[in-house]
Amino acid sequence: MCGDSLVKTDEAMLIERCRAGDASAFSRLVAKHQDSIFNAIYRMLGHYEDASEVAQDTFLKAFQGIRDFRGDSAFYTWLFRIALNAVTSHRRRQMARRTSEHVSLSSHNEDDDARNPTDPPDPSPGPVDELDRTEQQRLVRHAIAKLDPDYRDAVVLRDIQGLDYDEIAAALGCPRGTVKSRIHRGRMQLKAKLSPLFTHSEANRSARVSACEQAEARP
Amino acid sequence: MKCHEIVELLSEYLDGELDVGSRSEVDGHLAVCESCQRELHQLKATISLVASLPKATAPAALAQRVGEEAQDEMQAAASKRRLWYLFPALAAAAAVLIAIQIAPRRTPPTPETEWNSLKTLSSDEIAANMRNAPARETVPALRDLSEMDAMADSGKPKREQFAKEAGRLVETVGAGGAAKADDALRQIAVPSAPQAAMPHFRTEESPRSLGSLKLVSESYVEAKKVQPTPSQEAERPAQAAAKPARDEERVIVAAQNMAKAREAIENALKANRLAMEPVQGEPDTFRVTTLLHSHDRTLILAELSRALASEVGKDDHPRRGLAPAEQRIDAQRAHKIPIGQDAATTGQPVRLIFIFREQSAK
Repeated sequence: MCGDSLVKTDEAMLIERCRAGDASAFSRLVAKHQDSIFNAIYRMLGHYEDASEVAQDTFLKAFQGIRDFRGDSAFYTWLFRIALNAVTSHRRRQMARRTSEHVSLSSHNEDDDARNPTDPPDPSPGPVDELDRTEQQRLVRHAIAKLDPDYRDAVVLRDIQGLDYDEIAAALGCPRGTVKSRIHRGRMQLKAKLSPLFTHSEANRSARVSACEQAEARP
Repeated sequence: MKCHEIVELLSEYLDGELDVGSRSEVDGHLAVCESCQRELHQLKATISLVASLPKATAPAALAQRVGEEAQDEMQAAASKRRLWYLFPALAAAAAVLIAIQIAPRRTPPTPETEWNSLKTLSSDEIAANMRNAPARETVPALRDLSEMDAMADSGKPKREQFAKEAGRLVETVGAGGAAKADDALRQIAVPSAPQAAMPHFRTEESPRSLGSLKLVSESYVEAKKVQPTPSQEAERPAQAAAKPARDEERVIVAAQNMAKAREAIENALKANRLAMEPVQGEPDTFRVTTLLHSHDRTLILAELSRALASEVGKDDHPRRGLAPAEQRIDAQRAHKIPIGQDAATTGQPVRLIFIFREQSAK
């Protein structure tokens, strides 16, 4: 309890120093929250490089807007809000780019996104592959990527970031009821996609994974 | 409750977000319903699959990159602040340019230069006129302040050159006083001469993407702060009467949609409980009758920048909903248009004069 309030005071002090234009104080705030924010952005976008870019954008916006932070929400909720805005505008840009390139959305493969089709495939496993090592993790990642963005953001904030409903409502800037239904819809869609993994026997595991893959492959 | 209603509550149930009554109802149902139990287990399994995904850590260079950019930004802001000592020179330069823009009105009317005649045309016709009028291309358009900032950002050599240029223009203004400066300006305003004399104030080829509203602020107060040298003072005739009111700030509003621009500004003024009245004999020129102190002016101009933001079809708040580049310009407007802050520190009341100009669509 005591430690907690100490941490908060520390953070409040850092924020105060940021407001006064202390860039080193801001670096400390970034260091404290960067992994959590980055992970959320990464899970929302499903793409490591894009996530790096958007995370950088998020923190810069936070720095620019630190004077607007009123302290009426937790600092990290405020950060999430900025991150979500950055994610949304990234998606919008991506959508515009894809529309202009006449690439169908359904044929979009997130792993090939950043690569020029004529480039040789990257032989070394990227950070993404290293992160989601098992087949199962890969499937879960794909299932999340296929969710409607509204559902995906709510599920990521709840089940990956561990925010409660009120915090998510504050971060998303929408009513609690909306948060509640987005989380539930998102989870139900994930459940439908991942249900082949739920049988209790381990014997037929690879068969179940391939059943999942076939389900994935279907339009 | 029916099964499908229970299933709807299962996420909240698992997250501990249900009230006691609903919770016990779900508990009661689960105790007797196998199918809902199965739903619950699968939902739990789904959640744990998602929750057990490995946590990505931020790229090692992220904090450093962000720190560097933040530092850069602060330095840029600081150097911009340092640049404000140049403002009297900038304001004088702006005065010169506005005079140049106005100058054609005083020459015998031609379809290209008689601005008054443009007023009666539709914006399409004006646009056509503008396109067919190569002579206008040689009249430098006033650049907005954010462009001055951009110039300030773009490096020292340019800045020095600009300062020199501005200094020269200030001399022109200072030497003859306002009346004489007007004459001098008319002389400068021969076609192509302004281009050569002021390479930085080139014709604005593509207007900024900030909607159809463009604001240009010109502070006479700042111009007054430029002290003439004694010899220049000697040359100056007794011209106190001929001097235009200098305790005023002219804001030129160039817009494709005049009605909309006027409405935006009227609303902004209304928010500050101030009225705007037409100036006799000067078409499309409005004066805010109350004498404004710097604080009011800052408020109004901030309000205008907000009006500008909503003009772009975005959220009312100037800092929200705009793309980063626009946001920056917008923030600059909010802070930099009332540059008169400097003048304001003199505590002198200032009158705002709005001049409406039709601006061709490109």
